[in-house]
Amino acid sequence: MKRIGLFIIFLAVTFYNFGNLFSSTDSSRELNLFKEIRCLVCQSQTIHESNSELAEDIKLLIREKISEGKTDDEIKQFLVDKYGEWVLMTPRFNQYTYLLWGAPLIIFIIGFWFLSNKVRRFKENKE
Amino acid sequence: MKNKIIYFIPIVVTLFMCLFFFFSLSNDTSKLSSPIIGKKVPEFSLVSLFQNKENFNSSALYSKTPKIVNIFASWCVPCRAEHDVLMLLSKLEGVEIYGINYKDDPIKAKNFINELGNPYTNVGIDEQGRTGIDWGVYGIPESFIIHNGKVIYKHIGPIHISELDDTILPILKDLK
Repeated sequence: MKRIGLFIIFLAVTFYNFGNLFSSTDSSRELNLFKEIRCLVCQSQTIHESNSELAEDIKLLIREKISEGKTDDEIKQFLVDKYGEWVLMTPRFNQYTYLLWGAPLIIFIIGFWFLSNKVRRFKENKE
Repeated sequence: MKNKIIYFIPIVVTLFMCLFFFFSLSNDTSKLSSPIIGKKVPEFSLVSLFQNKENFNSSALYSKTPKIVNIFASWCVPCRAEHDVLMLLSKLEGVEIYGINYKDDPIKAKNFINELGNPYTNVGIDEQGRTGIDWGVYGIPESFIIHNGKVIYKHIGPIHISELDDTILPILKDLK
């Protein structure tokens, strides 16, 4: 019985958060953008975490742009044009970052190749 | 023997990473390269700090003679330190400095100029800091060299007298 109760709570929490993920109310859009933009004064913080004046100004600017009907990409592009690619906390996939994004896959393939070689040799030795 | 070598690869890779991170420590991230260099100046029209002057517009920067745009505020301590250098620079022939008064009280800004001297041809008031964002400002003082309405150079932080000779003046000379 206790298990079923816990399971229901688990489902409820999961679906609640799942719903948040897809709802695109302005305040959640706003928050997602705030968490995505680097504060240039305190450089390892996002503007969401920072309370520096510049961060506050940029938050205000993002709110205005959202109410003007700009998309997230347009807003990000605006800030990238002013402050550079670095202002985004998650680097975008482009000609400078393909190695960065591809590295995990490359490392995985090398590891897989290495391991499968080992396993094959191990098997051969056994036989 | 061949198999033994493989065990050294992680050590070598780690060593290289250590070296890379060690040298990255001395990278100064406070001075970011600005994407607006080489681009046209942002559009703006700011009310002048001086009563007898017209608005400071971006059109004032579309000129064959190079202009300097200096973003400052009275609350900014390094701006105070830089001011003497700006005064010196403004006295040179053919150099015009425009100011953008960033997030400041206009009265305090006027006092600042009255006290330390006025190197500016015109000063625009940017009380909300919105024009500052358009210029990609994040830590004033910041100065820009403009030629034909295009951003040629950006200097972050106060201009030191030695930087005047080393970088600013040679750039201005090249543009003439």
